[in-house]
Amino acid sequence: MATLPAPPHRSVRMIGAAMSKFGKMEQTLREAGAQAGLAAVREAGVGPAQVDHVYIANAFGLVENQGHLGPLIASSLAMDHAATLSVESACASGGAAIHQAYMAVAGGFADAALVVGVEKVSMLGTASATTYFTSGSDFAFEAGSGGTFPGLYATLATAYLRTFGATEEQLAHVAVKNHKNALSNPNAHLQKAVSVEQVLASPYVSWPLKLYDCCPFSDGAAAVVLAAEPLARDLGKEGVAVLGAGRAGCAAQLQERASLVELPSTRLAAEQAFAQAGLAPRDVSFAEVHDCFTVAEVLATEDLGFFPKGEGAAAAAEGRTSLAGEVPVNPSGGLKAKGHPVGTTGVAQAVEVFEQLEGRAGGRQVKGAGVALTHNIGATGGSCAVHLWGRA
Amino acid sequence: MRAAETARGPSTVAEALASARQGQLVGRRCAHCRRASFTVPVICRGCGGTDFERFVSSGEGEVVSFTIIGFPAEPFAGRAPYAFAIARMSEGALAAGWVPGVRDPLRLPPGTRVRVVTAPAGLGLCFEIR
Repeated sequence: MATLPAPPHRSVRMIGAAMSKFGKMEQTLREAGAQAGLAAVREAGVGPAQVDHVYIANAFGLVENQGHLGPLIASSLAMDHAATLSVESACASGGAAIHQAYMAVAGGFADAALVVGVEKVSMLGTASATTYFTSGSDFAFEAGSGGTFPGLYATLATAYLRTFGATEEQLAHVAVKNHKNALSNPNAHLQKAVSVEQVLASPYVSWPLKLYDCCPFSDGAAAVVLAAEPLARDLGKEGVAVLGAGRAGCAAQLQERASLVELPSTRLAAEQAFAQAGLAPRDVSFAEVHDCFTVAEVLATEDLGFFPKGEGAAAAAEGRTSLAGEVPVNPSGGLKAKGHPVGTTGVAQAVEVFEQLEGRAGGRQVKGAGVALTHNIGATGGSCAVHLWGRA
Repeated sequence: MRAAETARGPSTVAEALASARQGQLVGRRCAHCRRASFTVPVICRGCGGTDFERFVSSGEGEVVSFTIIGFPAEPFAGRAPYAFAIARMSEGALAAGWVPGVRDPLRLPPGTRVRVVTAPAGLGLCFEIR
């Protein structure tokens, strides 16, 4: 396993962050991405000439017959000079793009980097969007034999429920919590409270996962600016420090894994981030985790080290991950209710961290938040990014 | 020429997919540690070996986990509900396949024995309950 980057690498701060409302978006990818980018650089107080790198997180740009989104969005923002890169890591594209930007700034290759996540799938309809989403799996050996994105997570859910004696009702509590949190998030796609009974009564999308166990198909854009500490200081922006950055993988296919009740990439990425930050799970004030399905949040809270393996579902049902709980999880509403515009998601998680740590999260504010964790998964865990953030 | 490239050589993705359409599961077995896989590895996850032999699975396995798909992707339009299962095949490796017509989760308790059969319309790897 890779060792940590040896100091001295530069301290990096997130000094600007912005997102669109998630849901259905009329704009093209270029327009929505540039709009979010503009809001983030305004917040950061940097001009176009100061942005050295632009990273675009996007999974399904080809639905618009548009590749090479980097120069397109950078040009819209008069950042023609900037080095751009599109980052595709399925649902972890956003977290992976932030990690690329972090490495570039920490390593001294850029003083300021703009990360834009943008995705648009609402025009596809359910069957077509379901098909696009399966392209993040092993298309030949999983999707090709009838697997879908909900289906693969449902296969993990079946194994989880059987192995630990957990229940569909416990999973439902994750959805109830995240829908409740999203009520205080004006940018959330789904702003509607649901009860455990409503979740349990919703139709099976892929047994044992029901409609309300699943995130919606969302459009949306988000952007953040990462800057080297000296530049942040010059700009008079305290922002939020990157305390730790981890990225890892695990076997792409469920059938190549030793266990179906964990996502090893989460554990590996978290180990890197915690080691770099010199922190432990108990130090985390709140976490934005990858809850594309309720079972995914449960797996994440265990694999990140918040709860022992097998106890995450009960912990959710007991309210230990609620806003008032010991470790609030997904105060934004998560993918489940805030929405999941695939490439945008990891960037939007960082936007939530920015708003929370700046004390601007309104009714979903985590009181006294000092250290935040973001966790972004690609497909069923083949890729993962974990970042730790703080006011330090 | 290395051992793995003798005879018909190791299986390819194209051959694996074509075989599945005909109700046959083809895999690669590491020539060194004998670990089997159905996803066409190039380096063995078990031992790091790079020599593989093609093998034809017995087609018999036991369900490790599964789901009942209600909303399929486009190639499976009109086929739902059906089961999607991960099964441990007799050679030791896991394989992913679908089980047409199974809509009741109680029909696939852990350890349910399945066999590979020819898929309706040649769609992917297909299991039936033994």
